[in-house]
Amino acid sequence: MSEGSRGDGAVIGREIARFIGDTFAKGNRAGAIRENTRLMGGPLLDSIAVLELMVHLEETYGVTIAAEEITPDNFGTLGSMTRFIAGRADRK
Amino acid sequence: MLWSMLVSSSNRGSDRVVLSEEDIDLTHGELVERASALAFRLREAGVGTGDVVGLQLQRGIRTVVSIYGVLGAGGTAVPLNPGLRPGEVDRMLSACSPRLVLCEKELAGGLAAFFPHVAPIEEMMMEGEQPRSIPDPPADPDRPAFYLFSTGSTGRPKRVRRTHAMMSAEADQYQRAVQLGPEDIIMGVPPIFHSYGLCCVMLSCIRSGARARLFKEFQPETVMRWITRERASVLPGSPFHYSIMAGLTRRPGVDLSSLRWCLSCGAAAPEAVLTKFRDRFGLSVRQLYGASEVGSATLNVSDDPLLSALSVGTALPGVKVKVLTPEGGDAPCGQVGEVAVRSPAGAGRYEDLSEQSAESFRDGWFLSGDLGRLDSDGLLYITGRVKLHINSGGNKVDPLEVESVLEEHPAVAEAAVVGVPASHGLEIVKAAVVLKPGRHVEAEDLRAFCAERLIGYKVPRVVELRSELPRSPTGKLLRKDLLDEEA
Repeated sequence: MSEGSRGDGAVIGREIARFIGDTFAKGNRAGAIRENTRLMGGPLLDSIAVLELMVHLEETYGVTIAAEEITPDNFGTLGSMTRFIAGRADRK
Repeated sequence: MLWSMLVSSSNRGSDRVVLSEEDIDLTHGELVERASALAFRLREAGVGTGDVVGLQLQRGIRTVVSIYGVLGAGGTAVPLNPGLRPGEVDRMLSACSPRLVLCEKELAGGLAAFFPHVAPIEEMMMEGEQPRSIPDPPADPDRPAFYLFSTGSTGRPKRVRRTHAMMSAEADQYQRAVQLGPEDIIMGVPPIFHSYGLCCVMLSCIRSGARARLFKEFQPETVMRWITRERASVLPGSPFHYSIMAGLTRRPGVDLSSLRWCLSCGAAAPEAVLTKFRDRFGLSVRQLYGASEVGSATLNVSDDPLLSALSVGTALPGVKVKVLTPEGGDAPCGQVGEVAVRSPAGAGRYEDLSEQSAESFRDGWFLSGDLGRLDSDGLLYITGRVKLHINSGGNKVDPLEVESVLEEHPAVAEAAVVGVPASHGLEIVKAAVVLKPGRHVEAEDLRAFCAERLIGYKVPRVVELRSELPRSPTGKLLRKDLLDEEA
């Protein structure tokens, strides 16, 4: 499990940004994924990529993300995604 | 013929539910009524026998009603992925001059730029509308029921004519192999616009009296909940679907033990995916092999699914499969060569493409472009492919189409696109791009440029800007070198 599982938002945010950058946006400007970068519903993540990301987040942080929680509110930006996962990881 | 299959199935039990979607159930009788009402509206809109109707609709019951509405009107249906951009739809449909394109309201504006007759589905399909009567379209089995599209390696999708007789034969072959009956519940994970969903979800439930549950999108938890709740028996999917389901954390109450068939098609299933799913749920995934050109061709019905898990099985009843040597002869057992299929469900050519037809159809056999071998028990193993296309989770991508879109960008001198193996059994699209001298553009701008013109799974995930592309001394593009860099 990654260091991010401690629920530290900043660490989790960096790890998610790294995963998204490496997996879905290779070749883009370094550090292009910021707090307010549009993720779910944006050009970076299509529906297949969202599912891959869900599996990564569940495996890495040991959290369970219910189908109805996969919404733009929770996963629309790196910031909202980080808050959602950090909140879950804290509860574990 | 497909219409009469629907009507006779309904006559055997019009109150039986045939399709479900979320909390909506549709009986056979209601499906016939709705499709009939649409057929009359299509007739009024000028759709006559033999006319082509494009259908770009969200996944779900309305797609099935629309397909049968077109068939009831005597037309030929062309079901399309709702995510396709208007230019992509034009590349597919323009050659068959559709009489009408039925679409979601939000797609109508974009399509109207390419097609003279576009109608939002809401204008043609009225809730609760009763048909004047049940239509009786001509029963000629050799009329085309569908035009399907096969991804080419030439920058252009290849149109496949599938007649009523072919589709009926495919449904029959598949049903005999899987032994579907009215007690079965099929999880409609593959979309109906794909030949896999068309046969293994839509036609198979109409023909057998089984019920299919349709999904707007693949959401693994939702699918697993419905399997549990309804004690579903058949799950057609792809390696990607099985990998995702096996990869999620455990959900309380999920029980997939009612599944008697977990089918995988669309791409060769990696052993790791099959093992992970089996370890997690105790179920063996069985591979099915087919193509838009011939429909479902083989299925692994082996008594020992563990031993032969990597095989796509043996030919379905009525289908013949062989492996060819490079010279075109029959390859001996165990030797790898191009897989060829002969099926009563198979088309004999590509429409309007004589050169590609001659390459792919020979003496009644379809040369699949896939490499494989047969073992001594007649089990087929797919080992690779001859064709260039990229397989993105069952969605095929023609690299030349993506390259030509990239090369439309004013800053791009040339582009090369390849498929790179990734997690969950996927291949992702990678582009190597050389810019024109003095021009500058960021990789994400090129991705955005592609996303405006191509459906999501064709948009390169990886864009590399380079000073040159790998070429042979004679100038031939060396795609393999690009792939080797990823290995």
